[in-house]
Amino acid sequence: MSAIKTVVASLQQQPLQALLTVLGMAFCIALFLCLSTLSLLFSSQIESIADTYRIDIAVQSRDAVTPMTSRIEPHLADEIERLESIDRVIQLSMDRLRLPWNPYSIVLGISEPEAFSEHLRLLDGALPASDSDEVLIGHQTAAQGYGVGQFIQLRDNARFRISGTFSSDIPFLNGALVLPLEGSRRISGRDGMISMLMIRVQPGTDVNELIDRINRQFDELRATPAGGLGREGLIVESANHLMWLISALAFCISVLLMSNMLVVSIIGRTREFGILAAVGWSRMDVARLVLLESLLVAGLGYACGLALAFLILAGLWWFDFAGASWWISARIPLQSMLLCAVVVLALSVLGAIYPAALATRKQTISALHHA
Amino acid sequence: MITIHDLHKHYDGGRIKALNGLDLQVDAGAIVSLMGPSGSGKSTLLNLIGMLDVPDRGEILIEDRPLASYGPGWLWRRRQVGIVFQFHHLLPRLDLHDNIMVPLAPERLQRREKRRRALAIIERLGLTPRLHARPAELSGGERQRAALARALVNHPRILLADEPTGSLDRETGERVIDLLCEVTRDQGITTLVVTHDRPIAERSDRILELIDGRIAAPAQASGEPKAVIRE
Repeated sequence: MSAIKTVVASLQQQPLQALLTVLGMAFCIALFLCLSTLSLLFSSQIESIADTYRIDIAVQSRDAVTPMTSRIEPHLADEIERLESIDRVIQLSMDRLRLPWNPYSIVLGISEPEAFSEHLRLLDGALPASDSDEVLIGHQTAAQGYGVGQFIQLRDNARFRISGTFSSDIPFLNGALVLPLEGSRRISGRDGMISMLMIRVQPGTDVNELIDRINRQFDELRATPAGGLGREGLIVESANHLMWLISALAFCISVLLMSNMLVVSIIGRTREFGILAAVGWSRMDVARLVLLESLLVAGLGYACGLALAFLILAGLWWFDFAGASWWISARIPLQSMLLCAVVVLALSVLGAIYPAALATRKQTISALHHA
Repeated sequence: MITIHDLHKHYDGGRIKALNGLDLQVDAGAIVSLMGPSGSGKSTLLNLIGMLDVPDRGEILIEDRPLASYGPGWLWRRRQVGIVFQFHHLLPRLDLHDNIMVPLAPERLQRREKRRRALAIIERLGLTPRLHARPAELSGGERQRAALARALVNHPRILLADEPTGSLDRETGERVIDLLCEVTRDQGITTLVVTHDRPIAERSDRILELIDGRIAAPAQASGEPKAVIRE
């Protein structure tokens, strides 16, 4: 007889309640996994852009909610470029364009398109020449029937020649359009403003010190380490806070579900705990049994939650909900799975504390005579 | 083996005197039947020896050592004492084999050793053909034999049986008690059996009668024998 068998047997005594608890936990876990996956995916893809350009510092306007709402006057780029320790400043314009096949097409205008060549896989053709009406398109856009040498109409008066196609490890870039900065200004309606400055510093420079200097010197700008780009946009921060709040609530509900199920189960098994005490089980052994029961339910909830989260993400991707297929995948990051596993483990222990105390407080003789 | 001196146990603020200065000595390996009317303190005595409850006063010595020196109650029950109740108290969702393994579950023994011990006692009590039957599928006698097997699986030195045949018909009860006596004699286990049934009590080495929380005097003036019936 293993303790697992005892636990399984006790769960079988209240199969409906155990099932509902597992499903409730699975729903909460799936909610956390989906939210954290979307948040991580969004952050990591923005950060990957910084990584693609090998930049050290990202600068946006101070009040920008996302890179797309950031507006920086071009003369500020020149002023920053004149600061000490700056190796290179790449100007980036980032906008969303609603195209018939992708409502979230990203238009990237870049002052130095050749910076792309190091990290994007050019599938066909060449990079757009500076100051030209050329565009480089991601392979998902190319899949709509566009090829090198063809023209693509992006706005009423903005027609561009496709110079090449590329693929990227960053999903949403595969649906993006990359243009020289001037070309992007024609379709963005930014009045010459740019979205971001991506700064590469000279070797040996103290990046944090330089960030402080930029933030002190330019009231209207907000400089951040490039690695934190995906986390520091106001909307990303807000979305993350909301995600954590919802997740915390979901996990609180999980603990309550777990505790409730265990308490009901323990009250119904009063005599069983009396028997266990009578045959030599210590209070610690009984507490371990309750904990094991909690872990088993949590483990089942976790497995079901993982499957449910995968189904939800796959569904979003498959049915292209709100253009999701252009920037999400049905892959749940290992980071999210591990974090969730640790939280579920901790919660299953937390949820078992009161029921375990209840089980170990029972008096053996009265428990044995319990109806 | 078991020496009890001036044992008191009161309930309900002293209004119910379950044990009232009980003295008793039981030799190692002996089988002793405890008889007496309801409320005379028989079950209370077993509960105190099994450390399921604590006395108000008096002492219980096991091999001249105070009972408390054997550690907490659970350890005493796990290592030294087996208990059989009137109702089998088997766990309904586990089969017979798993029920008998219950006392071994917290033990730090190899799984193979646990299984060996369980199968040995199951075979000894003739339950092998019913190994995977659940309690509901067993007869009354089989359930009580399973409860006996569970009490003996940890190789106790003392067996406490509280009306083990109380829920069985006479014939089945006699078979169970015969088996109990046979196994405990073989293994030299000191056994205390509470029973209301004289023919069953007569299978033991000694019969003691409890009245009002004490062992009754050897003989009463009325000529009614109430104490040691048989040595």
